[in-house]
Amino acid sequence: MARSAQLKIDISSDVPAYRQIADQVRALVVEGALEPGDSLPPVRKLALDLGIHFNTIAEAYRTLAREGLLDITHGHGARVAGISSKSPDPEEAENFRQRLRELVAMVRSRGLSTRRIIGELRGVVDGLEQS
Amino acid sequence: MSDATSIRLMDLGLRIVQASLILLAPKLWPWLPGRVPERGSTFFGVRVPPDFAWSDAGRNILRTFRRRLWICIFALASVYAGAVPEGAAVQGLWLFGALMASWLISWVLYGVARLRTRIEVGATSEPSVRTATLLPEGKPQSHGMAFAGWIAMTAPLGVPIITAILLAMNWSRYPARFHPERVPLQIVMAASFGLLMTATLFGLRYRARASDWASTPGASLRYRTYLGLQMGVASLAPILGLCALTLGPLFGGFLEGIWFGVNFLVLFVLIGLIHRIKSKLVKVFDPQSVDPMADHCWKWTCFYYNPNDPAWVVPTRSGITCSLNHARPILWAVYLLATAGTLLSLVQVAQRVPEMIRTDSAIRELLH
Repeated sequence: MARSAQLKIDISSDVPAYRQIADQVRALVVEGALEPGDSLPPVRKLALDLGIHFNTIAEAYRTLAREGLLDITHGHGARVAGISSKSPDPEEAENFRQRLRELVAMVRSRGLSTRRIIGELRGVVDGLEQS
Repeated sequence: MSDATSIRLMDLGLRIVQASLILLAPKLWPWLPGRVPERGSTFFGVRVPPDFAWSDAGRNILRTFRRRLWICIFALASVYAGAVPEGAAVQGLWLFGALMASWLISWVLYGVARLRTRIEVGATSEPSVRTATLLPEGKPQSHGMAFAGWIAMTAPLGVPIITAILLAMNWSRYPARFHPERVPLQIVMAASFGLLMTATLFGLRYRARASDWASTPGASLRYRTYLGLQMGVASLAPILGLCALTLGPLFGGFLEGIWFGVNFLVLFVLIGLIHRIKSKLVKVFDPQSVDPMADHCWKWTCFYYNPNDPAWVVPTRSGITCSLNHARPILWAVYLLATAGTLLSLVQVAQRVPEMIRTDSAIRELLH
């Protein structure tokens, strides 16, 4: 059966479009919907389909390439590189901790209990590992 | 029957045919509602709730629009039939003016209906979610369809260019009595129209969204190819005619003879082809689709302007046919060239009007 990988962005969201794209592509790679070696659409084509500026897509691809999830080669476009098995460097780990702290603070401020947050996180991790 | 009576009868018949053309004209414009299936999410270019078109208010607006359009166009056709002077050349100019007037009337009435719809519906929320496919979906296009699409895209500009090359190669042989000084402008006119069409069809094929017009990227590509074929075929009729008439004197009337012999046949074949493509377009079109772009991107009811959108060509708000993205600089360059060509040609036609009137009078005197 043909695999399907849809990208969906909300232009009225507070989250910048490039981060929405990077987050979704990352999730698709982790879930296995995108496999190592899969070619992603060229920057111009994806920008055309989403009706946003080329630079936004290019920034999302660069972010994923910095994380090691994408291989960008001149003339061949972007390919999925797979999930890196090495541990993240201290700066990246700190960045991750910071984002997680902000996210937890945001959902706590909206009234979610600590137990519920832990349960949701476990559910997300289990879901990604099973797929 | 005397000659004068036959001439009068012929003139009357010609007036009736031309008036019928004016009456038929609004039926041929695809952006007027009711001709083919439209997006349920828009009504007269206004974003509406999905069932608005079938509500009492919606039906009332559409009924009023059709009644007003019919009355105005009928009045225009009647005035035309009664007032147009005798003479084929001058009547051609009058007919062009009347067709432009009927287009303007339709546009104004469309704007009024749009305003009524906007007042009736009020503010509606705009969609903010956009989707794209990361992996290729569906079968790639067949070679035959791809080739046909490529021909339809290149022919509107290619035919005038080939004509210009043929003329340049045989320029010394061009008969002086056929006014060779007018030929370059005729070619410029055909080429400027062809350039606009080729740019539009290129945009439709390579610079349009895969999620527009149809529910899947493959179906969207099919729709765009059919639409490109329809537009390319429709634009070829005047371009081929102009080029054949321009080249005619070089071939001692041979080409003109062929053109006059087959032009009606060609026109009927083209109309049949356009109708056949239209039925395919209706099958592929997705009436559930929604315009993903904000309302403020549409200026003066039908002009799309969005500098943040890389697409050159987008569907109109009703989803039928297409509109250019007027914010793209490359299209402004094409527009400038096409407008310059059209203006030059109009100047030439305007300069020839006194001569056309003189010729018409001379023919009338001879006949009477």
